[in-house]
This record gives sequence, structure tokens and C-alpha cells, in this order.
Amino acid sequence: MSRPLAAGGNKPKPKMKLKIKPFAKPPSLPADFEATTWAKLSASVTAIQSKLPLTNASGAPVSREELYRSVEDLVVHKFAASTYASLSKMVDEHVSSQIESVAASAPTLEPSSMADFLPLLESVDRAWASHSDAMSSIRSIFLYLDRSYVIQTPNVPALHDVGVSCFRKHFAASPLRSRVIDGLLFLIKCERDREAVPTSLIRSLLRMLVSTSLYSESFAPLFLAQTTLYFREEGLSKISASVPVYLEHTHGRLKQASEQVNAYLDPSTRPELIAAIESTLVTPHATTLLAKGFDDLMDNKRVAELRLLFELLSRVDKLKDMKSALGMYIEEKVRELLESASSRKTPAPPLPSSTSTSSSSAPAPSSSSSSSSSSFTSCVDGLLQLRDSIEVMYKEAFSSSETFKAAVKAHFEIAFTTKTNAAAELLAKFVDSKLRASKATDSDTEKTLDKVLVLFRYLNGKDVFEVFYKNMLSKRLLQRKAASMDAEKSFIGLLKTECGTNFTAKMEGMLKDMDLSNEIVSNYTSWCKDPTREAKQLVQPLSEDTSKCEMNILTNGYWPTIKKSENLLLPEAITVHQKRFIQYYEDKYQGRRVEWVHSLSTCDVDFAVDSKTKKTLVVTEFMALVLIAMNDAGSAPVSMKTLIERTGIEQAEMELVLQSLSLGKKTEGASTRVLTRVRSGDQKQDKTVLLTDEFVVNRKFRNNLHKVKIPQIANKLEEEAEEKKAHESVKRDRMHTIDACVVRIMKTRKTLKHQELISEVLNQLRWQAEASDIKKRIESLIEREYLERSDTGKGYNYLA
Amino acid sequence: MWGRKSSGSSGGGGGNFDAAGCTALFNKYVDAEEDPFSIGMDGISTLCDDLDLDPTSDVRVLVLMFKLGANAKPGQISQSEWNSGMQALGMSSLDDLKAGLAGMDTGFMEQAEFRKFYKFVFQFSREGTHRTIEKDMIVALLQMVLAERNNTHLNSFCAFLEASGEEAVRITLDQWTSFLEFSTLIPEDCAGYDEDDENCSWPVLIDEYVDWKQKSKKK
Repeated sequence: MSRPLAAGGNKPKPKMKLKIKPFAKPPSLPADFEATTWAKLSASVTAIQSKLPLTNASGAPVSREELYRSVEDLVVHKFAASTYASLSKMVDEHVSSQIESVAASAPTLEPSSMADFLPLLESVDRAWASHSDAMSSIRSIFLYLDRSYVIQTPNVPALHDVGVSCFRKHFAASPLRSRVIDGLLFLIKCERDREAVPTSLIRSLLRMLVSTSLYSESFAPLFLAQTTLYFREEGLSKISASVPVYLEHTHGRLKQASEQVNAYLDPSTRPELIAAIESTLVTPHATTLLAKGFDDLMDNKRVAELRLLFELLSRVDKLKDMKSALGMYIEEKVRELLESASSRKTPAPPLPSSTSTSSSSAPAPSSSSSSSSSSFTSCVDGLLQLRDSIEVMYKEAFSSSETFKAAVKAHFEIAFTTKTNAAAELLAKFVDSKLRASKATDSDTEKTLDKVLVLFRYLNGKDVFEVFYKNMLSKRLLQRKAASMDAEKSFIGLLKTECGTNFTAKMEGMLKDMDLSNEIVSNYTSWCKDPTREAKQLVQPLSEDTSKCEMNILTNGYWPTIKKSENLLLPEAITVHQKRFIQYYEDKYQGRRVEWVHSLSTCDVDFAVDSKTKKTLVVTEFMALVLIAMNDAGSAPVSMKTLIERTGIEQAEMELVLQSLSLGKKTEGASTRVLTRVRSGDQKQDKTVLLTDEFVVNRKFRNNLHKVKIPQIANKLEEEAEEKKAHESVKRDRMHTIDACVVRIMKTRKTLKHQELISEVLNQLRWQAEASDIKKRIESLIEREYLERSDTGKGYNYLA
Repeated sequence: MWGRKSSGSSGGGGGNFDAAGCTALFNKYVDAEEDPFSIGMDGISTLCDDLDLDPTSDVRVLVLMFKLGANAKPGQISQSEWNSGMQALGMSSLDDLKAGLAGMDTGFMEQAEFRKFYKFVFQFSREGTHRTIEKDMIVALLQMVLAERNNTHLNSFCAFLEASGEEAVRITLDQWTSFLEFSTLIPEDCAGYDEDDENCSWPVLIDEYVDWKQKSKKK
């Protein structure tokens, strides 16, 4: 290699061996190492805290890396503890001065509006923000300290925590704390009062409180207290408003609370907040709400509000109250409806409106007349509507709660029980009217009848219903008013599934009878027409009949007992038919007896009003007898007494007949006065008929129709007497049933304690009997020596 | 009818039973036209006169009839009953009867025997074939029969019966006997009488009585 010549020689140097010698004197830290480093660091810290750029003592920017290394150096050289201490002190001082300056700048006046609070809150917010920022910068510089010294030394909090706790310490001690909290509460209150508030400010301040752990001890209790107070007052003032408004409002408040939690409150407050609202707005007012508004809501079918109410009450566990309010409502309404029907005076009270839009008053009752028929129809219609609306409510508002369903059922039953006879009678009448209507086969009618059955299930005294229904059924069938046999059969079928065959046996018998009767009659007619029969065998051959006769043959046991008239003097026109039929019947069915029931028969009578006019009158048999008796009188007036003698009709019945014939409606062209009563002028012209009253045929009888139906004046007294009889027969039947039941039970058990006997009997009876009734029957049985009291007391023995 | 004991009665007069005298005594009170084989109410009434007893107020008449065993028909005693009864008591004359009257009070009867007597009173006091007795008679009987038995309910029950309105209340044997049981078991203030509890098997009349009593106490 060629080396450039150096002056002074060109001697090649030998290879040099590098030798590194240790320091003769180990390097030591400069004496003020710590002080200088720390000075550098603290200057940076101050700069950060003052938001100035980082510079060193001479103004040149210093890099964070350098600062970081400085920290590392200090730690390595075991100056960690003092560094930490100094740093903490710096932070502490800074924070304290910050807070004092904010406090000092706060207005001294009592803040009263939002504008007053805001500056303070904002400055606190800013202070916290800057502190947090500073701390995070500082921490990143002093990271090594955090990671080594802090971790290795127990009980030394991390730098971040140092920052937080310093802030907390000074903030909590300063009057700022209470003022800030007051400010926040005020803002929240403003929000509740529907003013706009800076939610982000609130949020950040609350976050600050959370971070400094002041939230749960300082803020939350005060917040809840304020909330409670606020809503309690609000509840008291708003409760006087209408119920729907109040419900809406409460619902709104609950929603708002939820939003508040989402927006700025700490989630931990949520349950307490909701509970506070519930306990102030809902719980104390629950009873008031129910008492005031529940009935209206139900009447007007305010489903949404009811659902709201239901939800609110279920939160505070007051559903029981709502249930009982519902129960009371049902009972009240049912009672009203039943009473209106049985009083027969006023039309039914307003029914729940059928529209779902809010209407403040219910529609006027549809029936304008106050006759009994429309009142009971409207009553049952009302009941059905009530039930329907409850069903709807139940599904939509009460979320199909099982307990509500049970309560509804129970209260309907109770309501029906208190007026059990009235309710049973009502249902029977309603079904009767439906089955008479010409639309009996309509699917609508079918649906209605199905619903009636639901009401029937609520009935306590089903046997009362049975008695009434049977009576009405018999009238329907015999007067041929039953619109459709199919409808009849299907309804009886429904009853059968409900109550068993026993219940409907007689009714089915009645229906079968009608079919059977038709058969017999057709057989009879062919028997009469039978040409092989010798002419003189018949009482009178068909060809010589002057009148036609239609017959219904009934089996005695199935039909309700009807009053028999023993002593009627029948004209030959009628007796001919009777005798001939008896001929046939006794021939065919030997051993059976035929009895004629005149009170249910009707006649068509030809009436020659005068030489030009002929009418046909449709009258009852009794009326016909009277008219025929008048035939013989010519034009002389006939007294009631004479008529009684001639026809054999009883006086009470005769009075009705004559009233129907002579004192009926007298409208133009639609007269029903076939007879005219002749009374001397000084006697009162009233509705009662005396024995001395005399009658003539009304030759001035005018009616536009050719075939005129003369209605039988319904005897109110008689109807009521019938009803009473029905009730009493039910009572008697029940007594006998109880007796039979008791004997039956005792026969198998031989000895039974009183309590057990009563409960057994109650189980077996088809109606809700009173224990005292059963007791009376037991005493009667003791008297008749079916039972005796057992010596061991409280029980009975069966006496064979 | 041998072996019929009447406990609690003092022995009759003489030791020997005089059957003839007994029958003669019987015949004294019989109304031969009506029924020669039993003494009816008239005859009993005469007997009472002879014994210085008032049949309407003196319970010993009934006790006598009880001890004689006049069970067959109410209000009368048949000859066979008379004979066997008198024999059992060891009495055959009016003097014997008079002497034995002292032992015929109700105060000293034991519970069991009194019960039987009490039941007998009802049966004996009926009219003919009736099975019930009307309340006025009942009140009189109760007062007579229970006078010496420290019955705490006697007075109020009688007041109750009398206050029970115009309905012709007739008392049955069951109600009659139940009253006795009731008054032994239930104290005067009807404490512990709960209609729905074990006490519910008392007759309805007793329930009504307790109700009435509690209502009138409130007034």
C-alpha cells in the first residue's frame, strides 16, 4: 500500500492493540445532578400546566425524549422517591391554585337563573379539562417513574391517581363543590321544566365527579333528594288534572328520566331515579287515579291509557288495586243493567261506547220506549257489550294477565249472584226473543247465542234459568212462534254441553213431542179418511166438518204444568173434533188418557160484521167461546154473568177475555173491539169489567185487514204471579234436591261430621246454596227421622 | 217392666207392694167413659189436686209421670205403665205418693237422668199426634223444668222466644234437646260460639238465639 509521505519520517507503525482501560476514577454523577435534572423537569411540568410549549432554561425547545430520559436517569440513580415527591407536590400546588382562582372568580351573588350558573360551571369544567390534559402529558413524560417506582413500591399511587386525588382534595374542600353541585341540580331541574340545557356540559361535569369519586357521595344523594321533592310536588299538583293527562305526563317523565341517564347521568343512578319517580308520581296517587279515572277509561274504552295505567301500576306492584277496581266496575255495571231491566221503568243506562276514539259521552240509549221487552233486550245487549269490551281490554290493555282473567270471571259471577233470579230470567227472555225473531238462523244470532252462553256460565242459579226457559220454550212451540227448529236444537245442544243431559232432558222432550205430534196428526187424518172404515163408526166423517181443527199432542211430563179448565161448555163444532180424535187415539194407544188444554188453544172465527163485511178473527179459545155464545143472543145485550153461565169460563178469566174483546185499541181502521160494552152513563167507564156489565156485538167494527188478530190483554198480575210461581217452584225443587242429596250422602257414609256433610252437599249441588238452608233441611230430616244427631256431637248418623 | 230402676228416688211407703190398692188408685182417676185403660189429663189433674200439686207450675207432676214411665202417649198414662211404675217405686197408695213427692225434684238428678227426664217432658207435653209444641207452652215448660238446674240461658232464651214475633213458632224435639246441650256447653255470654266453626251444627234456632242475644247486648 502506498501511504502518503508524512513529514518527519516514514517509519511504518506496528499494529496497535486497542486496550480499553477502565476509568481511573469511576465517573460520578455531578453533585447537582438531581437538582439540575429536576429543575429541567419541573420547568417542563410548569410549562405543560400553563399550556406553554416546552423549552429549556435557555428557551430552546426541549424534546420529550430528553425529558423522558432524564426521568429514567433519576430513577436509575435512585432519585425516584424524591422525584415522585416533588412531582406530587408540584401537581398539588398547581391544582390548588387553579381551584382557588376559579373559586375567586365565581360570582358571589346567589345564582338564580341558568345564566348565572353557567359561567361558574364552565370554568370548573375547563379547569378539570386542562388538569386532565396536563396530567396525561406529565404522565407520559414520567412514565418510567410510573412503571418502575410506583409498581415496585407499595402504597404509592400511580401518577394518574395522584392527579385525580389532588384535584378531588382541593375541589371537595373548596366551596366550589357545593356550588357546582347546586348548579348541576339547577340545570337538571330546568331541563325538567322544559328549558333547554347544555347537556354536554352537564355530562362532562358529572364525569368529572365520577372520576373524582365525588359522584356517589356528594352528587347522587342530593340529586335523588331533589328529584323526589320535585316529583312529589309535581304529583300533588298534577293529580287534579284528568287521569289520561296525568298518565301521559308520568309516562313522559319516566321516558325523560331514561334519556337523562343515557345523556349524562351515571348508569348507577338509573334504578334509584326510576324508583324515585315511581314512588312519588305513581304510588301515592295510585288509588286516586283508580278511583277517579278507571271507570271513565273503561267506559270510553281508552285502551292506550289503560295500558299505560297497567304498566305504571305493575311497576309499583299496585296491580291488586287495579284488579279490584276492575272488579268493582264490572259489578257496578252489571248491577245497573240488571236493575234497569227488572224495574221496567227506565231505559238501560248508557252503555260503554263502541267507538275506540275518545268520546266524552256515551251514545244515548237506543230504546226510546220503556216497555219491558226492549228494556231486557237492551240489558242483555248491554251485558254482552260489556263483556266484549272487557275482553278487548283484557287482551290489549292488561296484557292478558291470568290474574285479571280470573278476577273478571269471579266478579261477573258475584255480580250475577247478587241478583241471581233477575239475571236468569233476563237471559231466558233474551234467548226467547232471539229464537222468535225471524232471523234465528243468522250466523249473527248464532254468535250472540254463543256469547249468551258465556253469560250463562256466570249464572249462579242455573235451575232458575231452566224453569223460565222451559216455560218460554213451551209457549214458543205451541204458538208456532219458534222461528227455526234448528236454532232451537242447537241452543239446547249448547246447554247440554254446558250442564249435562239432565238439564236439557225435558226441553229435548218438548222438541221431540212436536215432531211426534205431527206424525200422530197425519196418522189421524189418514185414519179419518180411510175409506174402508164404515161411515157410521166415526163420530162424524171429515166431509161433514163445519170447522177445521189443528192439534198438538203433548207428553205430559215434559211440558210445564198448565192450568186446566174443567167446566167449559164447548160448542158442538169443537166437541166433534175432540170426540173423533179421542176415538182414534184410544183405539191406537190403549191405556193413555187425553186431556184438553184450552188455555193455550186459538181459534179462527168467521165474523159477519154486517151484511156486506166479513172478517176472520184470530182469537183464543176462550174468546171464541164467548163470541159463539153471543151468537145466540141476537142483538140483545148479554151480561157478563150470563156469559159465564153459558161458557163455563171462570170469572177472572172471563174478565180478561171481555177486556180483550171490548176494550182493546181503538185506532182508526185497526179496531180490535169486537164487542161493545154497554154501561149506564153514570157508571165510570174504566177498564174493570163487572158482572153486571152488558155486551153487544160491535156492528161498526172496522179494520183494514181481513184476518184480524185480537190480542189477549196480558194480565200483568197474572204474569207476575206466574213468575212468582216459577221462583217458588225453583225454591221447592231445591229443597227437595237438598234433602235427596243429604240422604244420599248419609246413606253411603253412615256417620258424618256436620262440617263435612255441609261441604259434601255444597259440592254436589248445582247452585250456590246457603249453609243455613242446608242446615234447615238437615233439621227437617232429623224431625222425620232420616237422621239423628250423633252422641259424639257435631255429627249425624244415618237412620235406616 | 221388671228391673226398671228409678235412681235418685226415695223409697216409697210400705215395703209391700199392694197391687190391688194400686189398681184401685188407678181407677179412681180414670174417666170410664173416655178410656178405662188410661188416665188422661183430667185424671192427672185430679190426682194433682189430691196430692196438693199444681200441675201448671209444679215440676214434680212431670217427674212423677216420668218415673212411672208414661211414655206411650203424650198426656196420659196407661194402666200397665201405672202398675209397673208404681211397683218399681214401691208405692201403692196416695199416702205413699205424697211421701215420695219430696224425692221428685229435679235439682238433685244426675246429668244423665235429667237428660232423659227433660226429653220425656217434651214428649209428654205434646198434644195428641203433634210432633212439635208451640212456643208459649215451651216457655212455660222450660221455666218449670229448668228452674232448679242453674241454667244460665233460661231467662234470655225465654225472652228470645217471646220476642220472636207473631209467627207461630213451634219447637221440635231436636231443638228442645239441643237447647239443653247448648246451655251446658256454652256460657252465658255465648263466648266461643262461632257460627262457622264446630258450633255450626247447632239448630238454626240456637243460632238465631245467639244472634238475638248479642244484638240486644249491644243496645
